[in-house]
Amino acid sequence: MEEKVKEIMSLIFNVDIEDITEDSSPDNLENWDSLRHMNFVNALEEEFDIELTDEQVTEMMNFKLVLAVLKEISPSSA
Amino acid sequence: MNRIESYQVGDTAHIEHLITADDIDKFVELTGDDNRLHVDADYAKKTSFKGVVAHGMLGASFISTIIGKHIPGDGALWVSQNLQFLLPIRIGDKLTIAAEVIHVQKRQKLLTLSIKIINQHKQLVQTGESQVKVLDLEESKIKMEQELQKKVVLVTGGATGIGAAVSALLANEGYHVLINYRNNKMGAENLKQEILAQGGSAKIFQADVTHRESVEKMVQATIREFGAVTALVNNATSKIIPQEFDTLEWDDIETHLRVQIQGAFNCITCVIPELIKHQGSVVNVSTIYTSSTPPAKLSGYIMAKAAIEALTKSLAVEYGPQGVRFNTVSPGMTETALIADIPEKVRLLTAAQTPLKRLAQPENIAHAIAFLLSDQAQHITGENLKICGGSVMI
Repeated sequence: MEEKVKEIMSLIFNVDIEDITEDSSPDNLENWDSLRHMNFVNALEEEFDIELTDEQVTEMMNFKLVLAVLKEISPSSA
Repeated sequence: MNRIESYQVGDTAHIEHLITADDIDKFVELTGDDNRLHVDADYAKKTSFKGVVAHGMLGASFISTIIGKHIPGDGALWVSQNLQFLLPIRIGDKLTIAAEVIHVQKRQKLLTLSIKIINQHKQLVQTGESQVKVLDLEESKIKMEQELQKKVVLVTGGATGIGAAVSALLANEGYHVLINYRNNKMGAENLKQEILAQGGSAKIFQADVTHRESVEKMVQATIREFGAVTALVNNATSKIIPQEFDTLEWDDIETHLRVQIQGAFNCITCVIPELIKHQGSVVNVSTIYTSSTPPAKLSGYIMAKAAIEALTKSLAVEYGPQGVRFNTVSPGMTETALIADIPEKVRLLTAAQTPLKRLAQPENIAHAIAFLLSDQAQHITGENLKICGGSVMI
């Protein structure tokens, strides 16, 4: 799951996959703005066949939290 | 040992000094004795001395030097002196001032010194006997001051998490540390060994802070071991178990109140005479969630923490006039075993919502506590210091 999330982030935020770390967040990824965040959410929903709640969308404040939210939804993917 | 014990008959010391015109000028300036025999060469020539003579007491003044700096040196109290002026002292004379112990009165702590002042021609120019008291007072005073400077802290819940970081840091800062634990003997013992290995001073003591008798014994043991209690850190806390309010029994609430409020009450009341005596300080450990929106389902824990903050302020007012300071630290979520039951997502969210983007480490809290206990904080009392990475700013 982790690698897949990184691939999506790389694509959406237009950043090299090697530059994505567990500390990546809107604070250090210039392109991670509110508009692209929604694109990111859509891409995650499509990739993992899930539907994120508004609360979960706002909780995904950095890479580690994205993984935590996804694991909460589908623990088996962890 | 009394310092008088280190002296015996026959002990000697001597100093030398060359008498100059400048010495005479300074003596005149100091005493106002400008008798012409000492300052007027023409006049002095007409006297039986046939020249300028130094003041007799100028030569004798070096007896003060030999007593004050050599026998017995520091702690000397010159109580009596007799003197015979045998020959005049002149400019250019090189004096040897010699003292020899001729009598030791141990009970009275008195030395009798034979004083001989001899010139460069080996002529005895002055002689006399000095009586000097050898004081232990200064040493006692130094020892007493050292005792007053001694720092002894009792850290409740001192074996793990924030308590362990506080114990280790304060030991490193020179405190004698009493590490209180309830169940974690191995953790306490390991921490003690770590402190000792680094040259620190620590003891461990098992006590449930809710048991008055145990706390009394712990405080007595601390005083017995280290001679004082100068600081207290009320860090012992109950386990954080999220629980919905409608499932709570009063016992659940009371557990928090017992550990945090009754525990702090027991510790403070037992150490307060020591703290008054040593102008000590107390730091109570609370939580940032009394100052901000608390997490759900922690009502008992939050209630007890709010109460300890109120206790801190009340005691700061009550004991301020006696020189005892009370402060609180309010940590944000801190990386300790206490938050083990808090879901990872909540921890990550907390960190993400904190301006510094991380949870606190126990050492961050320990440094704040050490500051509040220190002299740097001597005008801070009744304060609640938030250590939360900026998550709450009031």
